[in-house]
Amino acid sequence: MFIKSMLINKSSVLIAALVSIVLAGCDNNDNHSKKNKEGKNNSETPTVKMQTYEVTLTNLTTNQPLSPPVVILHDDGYAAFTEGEPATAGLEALAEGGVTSELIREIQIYSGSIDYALGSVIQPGSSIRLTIGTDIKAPKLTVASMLENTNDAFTGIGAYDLGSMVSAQSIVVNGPVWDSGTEINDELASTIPGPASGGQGFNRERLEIPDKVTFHQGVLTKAQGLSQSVLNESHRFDQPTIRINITKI
Amino acid sequence: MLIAAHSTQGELFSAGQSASAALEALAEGGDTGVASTNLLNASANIAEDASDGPVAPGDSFTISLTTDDSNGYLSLASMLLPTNDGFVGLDSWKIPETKGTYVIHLNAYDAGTENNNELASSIPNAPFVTTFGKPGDSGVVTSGGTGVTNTGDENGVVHIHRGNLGDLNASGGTSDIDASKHRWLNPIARLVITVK
Repeated sequence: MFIKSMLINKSSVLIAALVSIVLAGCDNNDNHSKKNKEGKNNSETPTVKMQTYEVTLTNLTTNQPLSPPVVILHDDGYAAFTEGEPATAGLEALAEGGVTSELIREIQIYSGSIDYALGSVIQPGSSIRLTIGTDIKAPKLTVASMLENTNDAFTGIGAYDLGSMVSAQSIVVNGPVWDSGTEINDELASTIPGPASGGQGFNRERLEIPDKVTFHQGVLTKAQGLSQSVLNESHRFDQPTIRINITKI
Repeated sequence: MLIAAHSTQGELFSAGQSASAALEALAEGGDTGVASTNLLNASANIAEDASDGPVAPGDSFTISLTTDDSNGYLSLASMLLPTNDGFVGLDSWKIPETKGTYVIHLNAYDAGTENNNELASSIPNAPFVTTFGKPGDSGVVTSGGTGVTNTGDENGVVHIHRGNLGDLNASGGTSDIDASKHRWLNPIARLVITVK
């Protein structure tokens, strides 16, 4: 590892000028709001200011399409996944097969405050933009999307705190790649659902040990000696695998 | 190593975007000249670490940069050797107004402009790459490889580098890169910035 240091002499104070350009026509949007326990919705709670966030997701991998991402704004009580804990059925389906319906069902039955948006497949090097609104004053952001040419790898961010963001502010977060811990990383043609193979996606069996969400160890591929692997060297990846640009409107 | 403070106009690269010709030259050949010229034309403040040459693994250096008020963003790029078109990069980090020390970990990017065939004939093979400052080392860029890949594996834009594949065959195999020596995991560099 290189260790670098540098000094910046600043003769005077910089003017911070963050410019946010919104191109509504480019939005890739499927925003869902869920009423809270009392059945109130946005129009019935005018005292709560509606927050809107624009989220741009960029696939940083060489050759791993990212499955339709679920972008979630939620309160402190929700977690789509927890490192070191077993995956929920919703996360398992997403990580193994890019299937979002189960995770969305979990969102819809969550008793607290939560809003989500569903994107479309993000090809390597490509970006999509979603706009998501919420009544939560200090929301947490969770993003989850499968690396399609893997057994059960997913990327995104978990419960990232947006509470300190001010209007017109933009931030950038890099997302790592996790292993959902729900499927053996055999890299077989029959178990990789992405374009590298077209095999089976979601299977409820949990054969991987440990059955925990952890950081991913990467793929071996045939090029690194796993002769049974359907993957080639271009399917390899390193952290981070997604860039998340967030602008508070 | 090219380090620059610039306005929103002076971006060196952006993940998900095609590399500029200047970045391509930097990432494929270590040539910072075009990028420097472009930045200077955009009124950027530049600190170039050309005199000291490449920074070997484990080494560090300190450089000072005085910035104009209009140049509120910091970027950095330096070719990663040996690779086809890998580079360590920082893209438009907003220089804080508050004095203090800031630490950023940097990742390895692929410029997306050259297939990662990992052949000696496609990789700058300066003496420092061969020996990494260790006289007597037989060298890490070997020969005789057939090429790791030829087409179809690059998505054509700047993205996170998947790493060298390498092999353990010094006179054959697919790669001319030694798999036991020239691999990495992100992050690959630590940038410590003191704003005075």
